[in-house]
Amino acid sequence: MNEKSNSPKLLLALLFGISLVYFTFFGNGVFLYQENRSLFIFSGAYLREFLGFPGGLSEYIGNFIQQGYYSSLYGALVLSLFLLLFAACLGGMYKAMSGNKGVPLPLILAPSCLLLLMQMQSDHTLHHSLGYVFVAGFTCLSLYFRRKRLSFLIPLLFPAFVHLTGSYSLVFLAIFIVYCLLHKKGRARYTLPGILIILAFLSMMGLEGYLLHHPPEHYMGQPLPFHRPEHLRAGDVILCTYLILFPLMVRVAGSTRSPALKTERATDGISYVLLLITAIVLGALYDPEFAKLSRIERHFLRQEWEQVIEAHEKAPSDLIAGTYYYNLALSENGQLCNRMFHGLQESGEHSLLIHSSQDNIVRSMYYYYTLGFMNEAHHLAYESMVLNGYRPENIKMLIKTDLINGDHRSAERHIALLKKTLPYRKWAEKHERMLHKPERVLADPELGAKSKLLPRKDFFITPSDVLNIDLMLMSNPENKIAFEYKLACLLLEKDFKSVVYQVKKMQNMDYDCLPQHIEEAIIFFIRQNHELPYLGGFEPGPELRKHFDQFISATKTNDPGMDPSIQKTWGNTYWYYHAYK
Amino acid sequence: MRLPLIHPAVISMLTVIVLSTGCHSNHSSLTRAAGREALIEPDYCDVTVPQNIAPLNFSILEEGGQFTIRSLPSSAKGSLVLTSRKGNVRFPQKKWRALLSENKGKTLKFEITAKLENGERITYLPLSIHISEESIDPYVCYRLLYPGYESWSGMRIVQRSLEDFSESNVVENQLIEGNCINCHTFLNQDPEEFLIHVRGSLYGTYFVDGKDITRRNLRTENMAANAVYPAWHPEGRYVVFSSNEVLQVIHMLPGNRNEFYDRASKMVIFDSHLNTMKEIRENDSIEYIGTFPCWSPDGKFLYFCRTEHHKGAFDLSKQKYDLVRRPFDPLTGVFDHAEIVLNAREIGKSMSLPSISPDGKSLLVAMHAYGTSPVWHKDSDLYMLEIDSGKAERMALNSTEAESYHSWSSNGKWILFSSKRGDGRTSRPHIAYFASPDDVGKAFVLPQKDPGLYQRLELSFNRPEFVTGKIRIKPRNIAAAAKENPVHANWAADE
Repeated sequence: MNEKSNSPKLLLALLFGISLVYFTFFGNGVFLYQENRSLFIFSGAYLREFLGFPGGLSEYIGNFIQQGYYSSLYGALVLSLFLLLFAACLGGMYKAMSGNKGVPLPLILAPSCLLLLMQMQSDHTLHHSLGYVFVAGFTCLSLYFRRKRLSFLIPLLFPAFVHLTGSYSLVFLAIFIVYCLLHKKGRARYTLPGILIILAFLSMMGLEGYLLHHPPEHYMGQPLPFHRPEHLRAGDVILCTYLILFPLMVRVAGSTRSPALKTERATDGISYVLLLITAIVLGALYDPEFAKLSRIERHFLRQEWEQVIEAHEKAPSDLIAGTYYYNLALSENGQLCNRMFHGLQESGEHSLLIHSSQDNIVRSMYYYYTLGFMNEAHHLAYESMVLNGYRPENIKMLIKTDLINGDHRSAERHIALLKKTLPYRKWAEKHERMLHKPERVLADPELGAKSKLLPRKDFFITPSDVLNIDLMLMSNPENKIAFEYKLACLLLEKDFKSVVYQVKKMQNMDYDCLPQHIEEAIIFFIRQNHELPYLGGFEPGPELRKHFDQFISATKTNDPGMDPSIQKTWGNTYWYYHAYK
Repeated sequence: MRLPLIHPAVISMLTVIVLSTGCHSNHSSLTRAAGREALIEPDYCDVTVPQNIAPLNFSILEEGGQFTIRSLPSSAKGSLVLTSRKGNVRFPQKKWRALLSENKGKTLKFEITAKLENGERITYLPLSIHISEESIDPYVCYRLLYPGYESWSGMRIVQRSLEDFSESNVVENQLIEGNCINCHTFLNQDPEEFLIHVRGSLYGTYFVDGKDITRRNLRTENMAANAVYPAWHPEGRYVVFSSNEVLQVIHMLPGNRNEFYDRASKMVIFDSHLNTMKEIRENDSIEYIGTFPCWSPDGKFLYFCRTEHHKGAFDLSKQKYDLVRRPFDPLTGVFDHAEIVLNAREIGKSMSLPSISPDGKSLLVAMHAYGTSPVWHKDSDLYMLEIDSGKAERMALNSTEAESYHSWSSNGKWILFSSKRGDGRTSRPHIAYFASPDDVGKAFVLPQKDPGLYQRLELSFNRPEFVTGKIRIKPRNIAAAAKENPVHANWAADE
């Protein structure tokens, strides 16, 4: 490895390329979730919030960079560059520890590959990667200070480093101790590590624990996820252990006498194998269902209803949330009872509403917003803000519901907040123009339409969604979206009789014709020899009756499991759902 | 940012320049009188403030590239003159204190001049602030939290000096496993003796006595719910609690958000000498829900709110609480029969949160259309009852938003209360001068160093209470007490 070679550059370029391709085209769902988990605000108050706890500053920097995760390409570039930066810092550590210029590539590629795999998880946010880069970087800097006889700078900077990186500083401390024990002799082995241990103790217990009043799990554990067993991640344990033992590896690599391991070919070979394994593991860990759902969710959050519908109909997500978004997008487009069986409806009525558990609190608020339960949507958005802090979706929902409800002073505060962000500034400015101007809210295509769905008489939300819809329809009988949700629920429960008895109400709801699936339910009802109730002047078309007879005869003669043409022809009908789902 | 004070000599020179400019023929085109007061936030115009209040910093909500604020009349040391580019006016504390001290019992005025970008100057009518000779208790204590629904994250009980802007935490829930902390209650506003409830894993009522803290579990198996709203008997031996089974509902009609109500609630009394809890029974065929206890200053009456207990479904919008009182003998610890002080049906309002002035003559109570959670009722207003005459009147200091929790200063001259008048969502502590029921000053919000704080802050100031001094215990003291096993109260059976 002492000869000048292009292999390191090529290998690092390969690592970069694998990461870039994966995160741009396959694993970009993580960006959606990470971007939505924080809201970077350009304000002194926001900065102060992060300065107040250990590791907060690196989280602040991470959040700053994560703002651009709106674009998958940007996100993929950032993550890939971080891998290179990490590898470069590790290379620097090796050089400083060993004194050699040639770096055994597998030694720095292995942790970089591991970091790449960890970045696949949406829980591993950018500030976690940043923590590792800071550790490697600060170790390089400390070794540089030692070489330049500026060791006194290390303890001087260390308390700031503790506050910058939180518990990552403990990883640095461990690396430094191992390094001094293995690579130094005499008093130098113990003096500086001893000082750093005392400083770490004082910084954490004194500054963080006493002055800033943080509980031990905060100042000892954050932001590394070790303090809580349920969040213990194998990747972090392995990577931290690897870094701590890095000085030992440098020593072993330097003292190894095996010529086979020292040749460029051998190290290159190992490196290519490492990259290959990484690519295979990336493929194995890739979750197509998660990818489908994140695609649907991305369109949903951008209110691209047609794309949501198209995505679910072309490549349905098996996850219940995918169908949930599909049904909401259909509702927003006024097509729920016209098209819902064109997409997969595997979860029955459960896909109409995701219950508002802590994990689903933001997802479930869209249901209430779509149906006009503004106070409940507001409630869930507020709960999300209290529990998770400012997030783009909870703040946007608070603003919209406040404007619709006429709470303009309350909306004003959150609009001011969003105006201080980069990606949502324009959105905030658009809504700022509606402040204290109710006529503009009513004229807005989205908020105006939602205002018409509002209850007109008071009632309390109940734990039963079916009852809530009934209460809403009693309060505002013209709420067409709630009405269609009620019918959709009955269709999914296969209660077509109740659907037919609801049809007469449609005469007061601005329907030109019957939605497809309602019509199908009526035909089903008629063909079962039930006496047809008054339908408010609506009638199913004769063509559909013929179509139903064809469906019956086709399914009598063929097993739909064996004959795919049945699903192809009738798979988008209520009849098919009723018979086979 | 602290605004610089201008030396009197410089002011004199500037005055000469301004006056000489004023003699110039173009004066009318350069300086204009607005003919009205400048709009400021918070609104401190025409308020009566105690002579020891912290600087009333404010933001000027007028157009202008530069603002000059000058106090009138000028003091012996000259006028206080401040300049501000953005209209954020922050008074230097020492100068402010001197200004108040010199103008005790008088009206202090501030003249605001705005300089527009085109060079034009607009002079607004001076703002008046009346400086009372009555001082105010030096501290207030409140809980800071999100005015949310079920969830909470960070929660603190904070003491704030009224004489300056210093603020410190008394209890921090992040040091006690993130549990809910509530209902801080002082014995006669004494910073050395108070109690707080902690719910959840480190449950208990923490009694603070100087530096000693005792964690007690006041809920016995005879109680269906925790001890909730406390009232400390003035002599210190007894604490009465309502033991409420609270439920929350969420309104669907815009304009209302959520609502708390009691499914049931009993009144119980804790005897600190005997470490016993006992139900305060009513000898009545009707079963009641009782809440919001409050002692008369002499400790001879317990005031509280009560309504009939309807088991099963009932119409919450028709539930109204009367204000009642029961005579109490501190020597025997025995209550006499209840008497209605304010009848909810007759008034057409439901009553909450009674509190009595230190002289025992006036009683403040929140009234709203129905129910028991004034903080969530936009229509909740403060009413003043003259106890002797029984005359109750709506106070002029109310707004169109909820006015709720209130307390009296130890000298009875100041009223501190929560109001959501700012944005309809967050409670802010407001103070008003009280000379008599017929003479109450305009309310003003607790001044902050950063006058824009209330615009930004999402948190509510809950249960603001006057305290006569600085609380000595620190959050870590409570955290240490939480590690001790609770002292369990015993249930005292009826004799």
